Amino acid sequence: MKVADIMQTTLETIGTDDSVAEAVTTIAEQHVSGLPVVNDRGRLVGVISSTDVLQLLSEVTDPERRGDILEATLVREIMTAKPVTVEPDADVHEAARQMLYGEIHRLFVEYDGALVGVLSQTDIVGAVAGAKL
Amino acid sequence: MRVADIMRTNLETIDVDATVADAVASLTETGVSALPVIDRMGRAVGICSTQDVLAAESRCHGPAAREQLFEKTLVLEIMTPWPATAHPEEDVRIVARRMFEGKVQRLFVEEQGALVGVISQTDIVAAVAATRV
Repeated sequence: MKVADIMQTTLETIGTDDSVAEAVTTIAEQHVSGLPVVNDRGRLVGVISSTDVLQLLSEVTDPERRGDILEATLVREIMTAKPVTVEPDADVHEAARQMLYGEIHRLFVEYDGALVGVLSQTDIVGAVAGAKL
Repeated sequence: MRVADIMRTNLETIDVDATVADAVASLTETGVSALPVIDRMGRAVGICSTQDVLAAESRCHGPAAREQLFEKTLVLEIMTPWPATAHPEEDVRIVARRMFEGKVQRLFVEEQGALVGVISQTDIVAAVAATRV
C-alpha cells in the first residue's frame, strides 16, 4: 500500500510569523497534535507540535512571564525546522519505519516540492483496523 | 498478534492531585505524550495528555487565568477520565479498530481490574514498521 492511499489531503497550516497562542488555538480546535508551518510563499518549512508548546511553557520559571509567553513567541522560534517528508508513492511500511526511527507522529507528503498531504500514526492505525496492512 | 506482545509496561504515572505544572514538567522530562493518572488507592482513573493540557490552556483568557491553570489546577480537573481499555490477550487489529473509531491515541491495558500496560498508536506503527502486522 502506498502513502497516497491513506494520507489526509485537507490539512490546517500555520505561518512562521503567527504567534504560538494562535497555533495552540488551532491545535485545540482541530484536535490534532501538530501543525505544518509554512512560509509566506506557502512552502513547508517546519512543524510545531503540542510537545514543542509544552516545552516552551516548562522552560519559563517566572510565573508572570508564563502568562504572556504564548502571545510573545512566534511559531518559527520553537518549531522543528526541516520536517521529515515522504513521497506519495512511498510504501506505508517504509513510512512507518521513518516515523518510528525519527520518533515523530506524522510525515508530511511532498510532491514536486509542494505539500500535498500528511500521513499520521492514526492513518496507519486506520489501515491496520481495516485489515489493509 | 496480541496486545501483550507490543504494549508498554514500564509506565510513568502522575497522581490525581498533582498540579498541571507538575504534569507539564513530567511530560516534557519523560518525552511521552500522555501519563496515566493514579488515585490515592493506586488505581488508574484517567489519562493526562499534552493535548489535554493545551485544550485547557486554550480556554484560558489572560495571564491570570493561565497562572491559575498551572499552579492551582489539579490534573484531576483536566484529565480524560476513564479511558478506553484493552485486554492483554486481545488481537491488535481489534484494538486498532477501537482506537481508530474512538479517535484515541492509546488504551489502558487492564487485567482483572489492574493496570498492566498501555498500548498506543506508536506501538501499532512500530509493529507495522517491523512488518509484524
